[in-house]
Amino acid sequence: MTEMIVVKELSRSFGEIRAVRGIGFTVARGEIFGFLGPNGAGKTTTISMLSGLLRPDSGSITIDGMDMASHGRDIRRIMGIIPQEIALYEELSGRDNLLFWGGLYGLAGGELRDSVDRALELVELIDRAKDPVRTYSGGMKRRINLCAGLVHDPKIILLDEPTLGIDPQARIRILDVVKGLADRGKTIIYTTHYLEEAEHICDRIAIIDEGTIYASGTLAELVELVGGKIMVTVSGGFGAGDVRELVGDAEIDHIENGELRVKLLDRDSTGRFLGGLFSTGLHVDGVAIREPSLESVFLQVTGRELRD
Amino acid sequence: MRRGRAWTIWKIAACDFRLTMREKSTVLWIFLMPLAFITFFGLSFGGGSGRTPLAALTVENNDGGFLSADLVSLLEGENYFVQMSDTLPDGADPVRTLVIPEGFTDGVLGRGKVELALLREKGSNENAGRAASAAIFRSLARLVSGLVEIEEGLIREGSESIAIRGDTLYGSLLLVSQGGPGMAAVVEQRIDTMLVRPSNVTVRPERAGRSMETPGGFQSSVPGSLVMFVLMTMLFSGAAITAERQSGLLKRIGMSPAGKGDVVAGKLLGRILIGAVQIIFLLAVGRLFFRISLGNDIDGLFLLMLAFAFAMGSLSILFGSLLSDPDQVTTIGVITAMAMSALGGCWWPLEMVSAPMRVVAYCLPTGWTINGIHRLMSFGMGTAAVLPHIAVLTLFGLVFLAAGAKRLKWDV
Repeated sequence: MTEMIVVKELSRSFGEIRAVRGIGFTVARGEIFGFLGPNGAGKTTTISMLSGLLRPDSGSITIDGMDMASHGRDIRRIMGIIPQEIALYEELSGRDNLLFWGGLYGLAGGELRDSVDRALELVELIDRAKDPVRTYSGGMKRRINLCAGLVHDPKIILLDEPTLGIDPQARIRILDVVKGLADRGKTIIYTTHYLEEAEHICDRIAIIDEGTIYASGTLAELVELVGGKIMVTVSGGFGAGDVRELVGDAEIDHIENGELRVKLLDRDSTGRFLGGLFSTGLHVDGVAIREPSLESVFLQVTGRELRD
Repeated sequence: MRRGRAWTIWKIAACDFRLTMREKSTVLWIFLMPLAFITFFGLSFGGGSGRTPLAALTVENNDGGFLSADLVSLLEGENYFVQMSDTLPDGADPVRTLVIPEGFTDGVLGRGKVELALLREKGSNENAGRAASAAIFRSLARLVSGLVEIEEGLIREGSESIAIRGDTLYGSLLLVSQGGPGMAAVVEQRIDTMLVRPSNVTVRPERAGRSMETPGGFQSSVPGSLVMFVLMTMLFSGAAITAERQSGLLKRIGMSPAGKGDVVAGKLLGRILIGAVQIIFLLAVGRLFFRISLGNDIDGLFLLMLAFAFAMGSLSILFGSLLSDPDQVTTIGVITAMAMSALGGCWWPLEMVSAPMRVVAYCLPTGWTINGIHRLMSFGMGTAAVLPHIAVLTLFGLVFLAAGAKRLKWDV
């Protein structure tokens, strides 16, 4: 598979804050590559460096065979960027916004108008194209925001949390558009802090936190990292020694007074473990069971939950 | 085929221009408010096309004869705004009054002693008072010389009422006019004929050099308001840059093929276009409706205005880069525009201020612009006279632009 994006040892600091710490990854042509991480993980900084807006302190970015350091403008011409913010002129109509953004990418005349029409049809906003953006709903603004990054038919699309703060229905529409773009051979980098989005649309996912990629791969590969096991977390008024015997052969992920986290092979062994726990009469405040998922992977590799 | 950088810069400029022109407040600040200021200050400083307003002279005429009426006519021809005291509105306080005594006509015709009085209000303009005295003397000289000429004619005709015997003049025009029925009308008609005849000798006052009329009225208020409101428009437009930084728009533009240089160039070009529209509008209105002179060198005026718009557009970018809140830009912009306008001579002529304040004026782009405009429009000079102004304004612009571009961040 052709590598469209190759990133090596990329770092960027803002004063004392090391926002991105030597990350590296590759993205193949036509692939949706997800960055999953909480706010402040370094996703937007990475996108800013990939788009040429920020210069890395060190490392290299190669896109479609061109080095970002020397071919920034050429790279930006084949790239469509959908930022986290609704970055549109609210007083202009949807169409006028797209005419402006398309123009910035060098489109003009009939080619520009045709591209705008195609983009509006793609996000199903052709009927509202003449209305000022300020009159749009939140979901419609998100869609036209997406559209503005697509009007010049880019090879590579960077989406930075494109579904932030919208209702589930509007989110599904945007995700459908993104999947459709990948089907048409576009290379996509998609950042999100929504686990289900990453699971739903990404071919491969990088788990990023504190500027570091902790793990990356397909969903199956990442789940394999936690051994494909069920993770049970028990909290209560017990000592570590009280529960150690109950665990038996199960793999202890974490144990200390008042908290125990174990990995269990399947639901039967989980049932047996919990039955044994309650039969001891130990004081238990809460039990959390996590099936093997991206969430448990995130917890496993970063040591904290995504919503922390 | 996709377009290059020039196209990208144009798209950014055109977008900014369009957004500004769509705003309702734009109509107010670019078109209506300057017109209100031009009208108010123009009328306050004399109106018209900048001609010095006529000084007022009130005449209290206690004489019923024709010579006093002739004297008033002559004074009106002296470019004085002559008002008769009995036509003054109630409560009006005349600044200077010429009192013509009772029996003026008979006294003059009879070669008697006649005394006129010029009363001046305390604190009234001394120069205007002296000019009024001079005008009265000129009018009297014209009147008396006319009378002498008539006397000579009558003597030559062998009038019985006036004659020279030896070295002595006997009789007078008063006797002539009383010499028989209709004689008074004859004397009056001869005087009137004499006075409407052009003077043999005239003095035409002109200023040395190439200067035209001293700017005043609309000739002064149009350039002053133009400079102040273009400056204000430009500084306000800095708020749009800050707003784009806040909303993420500028960052998104920065992620497009447009580099920082293209963005700055586009923003600058947009502002120059906005400034150009305002300048052309105000000069056109000034010429067509306020009858101001645009001078003899439109090319020089175009270059000067272009340099001014460049400097102000660059200042706008600097404001938009330095400040992080649009409201802050607007507030500081108003204060800056007011201060630069007042100090730069937009509100009153720089000739009125002290030497140190004139130095301050020439430390500001507004001072150079106003001076340059008056050189071209009011004093009829050519492009060469404003080349230093154009150079200084361009330098101001380059400094503002360099600082603004260096400080410009994609977000706040």
